Amino acid sequence: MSAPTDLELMMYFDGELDEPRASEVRAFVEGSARARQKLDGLSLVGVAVEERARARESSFPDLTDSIMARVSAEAAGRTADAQEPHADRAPEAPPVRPKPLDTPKKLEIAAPAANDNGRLIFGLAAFAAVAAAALFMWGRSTSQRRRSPRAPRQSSRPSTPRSRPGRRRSDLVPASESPPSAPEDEAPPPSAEVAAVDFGSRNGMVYYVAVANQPTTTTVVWVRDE
Amino acid sequence: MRRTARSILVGAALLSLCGSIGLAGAAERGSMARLVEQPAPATSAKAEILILHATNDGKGIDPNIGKIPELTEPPLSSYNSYKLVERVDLELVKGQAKEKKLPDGGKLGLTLKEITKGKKKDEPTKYAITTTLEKADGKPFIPSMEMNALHGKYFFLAGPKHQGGILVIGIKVK
Repeated sequence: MSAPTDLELMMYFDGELDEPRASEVRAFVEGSARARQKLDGLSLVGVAVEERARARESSFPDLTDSIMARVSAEAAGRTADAQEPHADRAPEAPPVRPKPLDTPKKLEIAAPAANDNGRLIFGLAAFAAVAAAALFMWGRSTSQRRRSPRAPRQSSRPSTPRSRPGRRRSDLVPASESPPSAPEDEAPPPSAEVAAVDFGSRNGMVYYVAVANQPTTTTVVWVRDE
Repeated sequence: MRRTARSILVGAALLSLCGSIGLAGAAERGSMARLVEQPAPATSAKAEILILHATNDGKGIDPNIGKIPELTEPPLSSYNSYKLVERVDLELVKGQAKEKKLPDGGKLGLTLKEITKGKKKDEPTKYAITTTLEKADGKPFIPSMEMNALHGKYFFLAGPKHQGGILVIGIKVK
């Protein structure tokens, strides 16, 4: 059995140590004077804390009692007011009304007025802004549709020189289907994009020739005449 | 005080609504104005046809051809001599096929399909063209080729054999 740590001793003292460790610690404490001293010390501290807590508790007034006292006092005052017409009753001392709680003055201002339409106006303003944006976008889109009734079909994939084997007419395939061998951002646009080509039974190649100081490459379609 | 704030809010809302309607109207009017200003879409273009005879006889490039640096770059540089055979302009009309007879007896066919103006200022006009090449015996050499050519830029067709060399055809649409 190992000697209990201070934490285990505290847990044992508080009754929070689980079995079988609690039994082991109990046996250890019975055989160890030092451990018993520690437990005594813990007991003293516990008593001191408890007394201190009681002292503090007694220094605070009981909130429930004070509230109930005020309520009963107010009820007594109302009863006295209701019985005032009876002349045979001796006049009583004015009832002690509870002191009103210190409520912040802001509460009065924050209370909503019956005719306050601020939220409605904000909502209307937001709606107007949204409607304005929608109208503006609608106007622009309509005008753009009118300007370009249909977009032209075109291939926009420039590429570096590449070869294309001969194809029959029935196999006509857009040239843009083959992946370009260079990134689109880097390749300058060709002088002519080959959208579709049919070399028949011959072998053909499409080259894009880059020339210094020219913003475009030059398209060369080369067909072997055999 | 509250009434003043409400008046200001109502005024702002009305102003924003009126302003937005005005903006939308202005955009519409602007687009209408641009529509009116736009010229009628072009239906024709001019194609400059350059027919060259490429050989390896060591004579170099004919000065009549002009400055075409592509002739000295691969693959066209596989021939060291280029002679100008003919330079001719063809008037291409949209949808109509035009033909040009070649020195080897074959035919070059060009059909203008579409003209697309650049949307931006620096974007060139593009011409959708269908090109065909026929041999002298009437058999197709290039049965069909659809291209989108940039305005004022050459593209080349090369390959038909002719007198110890090949024919190279440069086409520039403008």
